[in-house]
Amino acid sequence: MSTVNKTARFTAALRLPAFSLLLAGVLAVGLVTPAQATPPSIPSTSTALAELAALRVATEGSTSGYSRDLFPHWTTVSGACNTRETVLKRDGTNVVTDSACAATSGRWYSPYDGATWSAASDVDIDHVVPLAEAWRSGASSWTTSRRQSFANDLGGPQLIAVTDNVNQAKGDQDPALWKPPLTSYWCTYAKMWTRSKYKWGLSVNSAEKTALQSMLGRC
Amino acid sequence: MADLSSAFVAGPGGVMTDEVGVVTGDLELRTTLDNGELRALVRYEGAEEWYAVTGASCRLADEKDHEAVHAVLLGVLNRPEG
Repeated sequence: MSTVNKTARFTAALRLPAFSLLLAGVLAVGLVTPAQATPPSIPSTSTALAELAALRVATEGSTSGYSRDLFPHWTTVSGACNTRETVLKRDGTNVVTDSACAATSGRWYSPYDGATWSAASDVDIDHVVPLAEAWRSGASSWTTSRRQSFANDLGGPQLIAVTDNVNQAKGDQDPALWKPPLTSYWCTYAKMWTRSKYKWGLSVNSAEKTALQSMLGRC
Repeated sequence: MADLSSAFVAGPGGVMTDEVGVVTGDLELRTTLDNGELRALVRYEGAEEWYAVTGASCRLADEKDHEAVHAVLLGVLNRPEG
């Protein structure tokens, strides 16, 4: 691959007009390529490993009494914009919103699967640690207010805009059961997952911890 | 006709639902029949809300088939050993 690239560059440099065109093309692509979605506070590898080591290991609790209503989400952040719309704006490129803060246009790159979308309806906001998984890992004993803060956490790497089908396929599963289709994202995903569990004091089960250690080993 | 309910354990990959995507673990299957229209729902065992199993609704030619369809769905979904 690198040999092919070098040859192409060498040829272009010899033929200046072609090179200029190539450069213009690269610049144009650079302008329209959406930025990587980057939730805040993704830890370094060493910090993630330390946080993972500090997590309580426990078998998952019961789902008795669980309801998404106990995790009030997409609360108002500012003006007409709720948490979902805020993440859509944060993770997208050239996002245009209407007076109700709904995204009417923009581009979204989903780092889970490498797909890019131009309609907000093709994008879901993933709770990196799913609500049902959080319930089984300790959130069942929280107040609803704390669950609301968790479900709308813009300060940590707990929310990310991704392809809707991929989010649905993930559902309530932890990294022992589901990982992003792009293996190149496993390191980042494991850092996000670990930070979220650490920040919110949630437990991991042993299979989940093993999977996270393996994924962090790819960093 | 009465709803039918059964506890089951989802297999690897869980069960796809319309509302929340894949659900896993100890679940309950409920089938309802309304004017010949059957719908399959699942919830986490003991949880408060039901989710529609994606694609799992159909019209029964004979309401007497409700039990049989429920048993077929349960047989497909139940994977207690993973």
